[in-house]
Amino acid sequence: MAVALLEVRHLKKYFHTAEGVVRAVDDVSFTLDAGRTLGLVGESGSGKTTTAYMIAGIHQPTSGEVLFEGRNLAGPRSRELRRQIQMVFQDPGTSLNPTHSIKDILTLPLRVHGLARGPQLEARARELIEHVHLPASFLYKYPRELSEGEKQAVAIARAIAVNPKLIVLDEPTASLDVSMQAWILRLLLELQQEFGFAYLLITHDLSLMRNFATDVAIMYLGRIVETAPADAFFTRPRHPYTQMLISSIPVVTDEEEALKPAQVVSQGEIPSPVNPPSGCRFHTRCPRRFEPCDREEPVMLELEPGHCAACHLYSGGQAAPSQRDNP
Amino acid sequence: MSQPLLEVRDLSAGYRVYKGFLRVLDGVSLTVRRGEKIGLVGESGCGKTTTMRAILGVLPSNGRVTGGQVLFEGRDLRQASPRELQRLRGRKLTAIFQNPGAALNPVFTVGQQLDAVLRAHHPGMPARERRQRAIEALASVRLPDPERLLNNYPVQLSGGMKQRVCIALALLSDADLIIADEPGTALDVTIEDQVMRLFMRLVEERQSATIFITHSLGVVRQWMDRVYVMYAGSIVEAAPTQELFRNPLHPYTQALLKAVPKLTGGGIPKGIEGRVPDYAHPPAGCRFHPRCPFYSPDRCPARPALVDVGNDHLVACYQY
Repeated sequence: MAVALLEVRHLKKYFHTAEGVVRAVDDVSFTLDAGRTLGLVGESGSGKTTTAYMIAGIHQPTSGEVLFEGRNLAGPRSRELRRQIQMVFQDPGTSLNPTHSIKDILTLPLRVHGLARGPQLEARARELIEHVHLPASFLYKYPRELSEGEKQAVAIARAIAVNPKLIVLDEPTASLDVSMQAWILRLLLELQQEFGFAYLLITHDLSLMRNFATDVAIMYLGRIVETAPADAFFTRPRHPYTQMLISSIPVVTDEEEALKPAQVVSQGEIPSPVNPPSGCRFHTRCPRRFEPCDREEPVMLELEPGHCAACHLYSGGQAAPSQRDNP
Repeated sequence: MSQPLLEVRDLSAGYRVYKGFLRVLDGVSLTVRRGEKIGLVGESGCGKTTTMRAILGVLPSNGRVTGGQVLFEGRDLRQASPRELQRLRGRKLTAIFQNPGAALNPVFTVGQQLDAVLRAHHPGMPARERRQRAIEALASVRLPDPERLLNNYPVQLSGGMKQRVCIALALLSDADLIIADEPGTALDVTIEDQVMRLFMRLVEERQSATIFITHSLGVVRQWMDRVYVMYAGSIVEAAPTQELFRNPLHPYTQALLKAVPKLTGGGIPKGIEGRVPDYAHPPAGCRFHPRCPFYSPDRCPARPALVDVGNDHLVACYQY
């Protein structure tokens, strides 16, 4: 069997704070192949951003492994490894250095990784700006002269400059208007088709997720509660939390409204990650909670090929692949 | 039919800048009836915030209203004296802004800020009663431990909590009209959803009218009674919510709806060709015409008026 581009195994990240230990990521496992897009969705405090940051190398895991092309990414990464995984952040206003021209922003990573020198730098910068459908004249502008969408396109050009294999997209269109959002997303898809990038997409926008991700994983308080190919995830959500989130998406057409599961209103506040509920972490808000839920943690089970959920409602099924090698 | 609470007629406004005058608002008209929830929707730069500020009379120093009327309960606010405006603002007409961090004064506690509003609007009220009202206001927006919160400074609160404090401040005045300018922008989307629900519930309970400014069509469809679609400084379409989504007439509204990714699938939509106009040199006539698939060289250079096509549905386009 071919080695997956990215494999995350039993990943954990605990932060030690004055209020106690925050279990931001608490045993997360998944794989991502080249050319595919995995969407990570969840509320604030779910751990999706921390997970992405561990993959991007911004945080070190507390335990568990991140394997890139079979190699463990633990510890300081080689420059070569850092080149392979790039990131696009939510707010292009703060991710682009305002004192650098666009040309400088694009050529810096090339110089850091020794990918071009002298006149090649300018030539490469021109290629990149063209890839993101912006005019060459933009190379001599500064970020403040560009619109939000144009800035984000520059951030994307910067990310692809070093020919990575995996790009982490952290809410790439959250600060953009509807038409800019469409433009950026199409650009990302086009680049993926041309260069074969794998994308790890973090977003709360489920309608976007539906049309952009090939697979989706939903997180709650540090754990993945359901994962499935995008189509199955939205047409046959199994976990009550997934159903709750999908039922509250604001949509714009009657057809979409009809697709949504019956409205499940969230009962109560999100519990604190310092003191997660016993048993299934979702039980305090779950409309379908029953006997085992507050004392026993549900195991991730494969309900259909590729579609897994961790919920007592489905016990009696086969254990999910990620759990079969459980120590 | 009873008099509308707010009637904006042909409002024009803009800003003086280095390169000239930006003619942002180009004749905005809208009507708000008592208890009505109006959504004002449009993309960045279309003039939504300018409209709000022009209505409230709080344009920045380089901003000027250049024409039109703002009738609140029949009185033209543009003719009102500063004292009259002062009495209206914060009492009958109040606002919630985009960035709660900027709306709250960082050097005063939450309690002090709530108290200031109460003192301004209820001069005779004893301190003990003011404190009680402040605590109730914080509890009504579901903030935990309101008594302790009174002593907190804004910096100690999360974004969602700050926005709830701003909502509490706006509701303290028991205003007839609350204008909310994208109150969820600075917040995490799931927190935004909670805050929205709360705000809408409180608005309904008090039967206040609201103008809710947003770029999210989904939010408007879910919560509002009536929608005004704005493009480049004017209203291009207005209708009861269901009617607008089922039967969008203006090419811009249609393009906007097509550009939203759908839960039912269909891939990433195309987006709208072209860019928002330069307000220093806006296109003549219909400001959307350079981007419009239905552009007609004979009809579009004349600015289209808002026409009633039935069902309380207004649209500004030569096609109707």
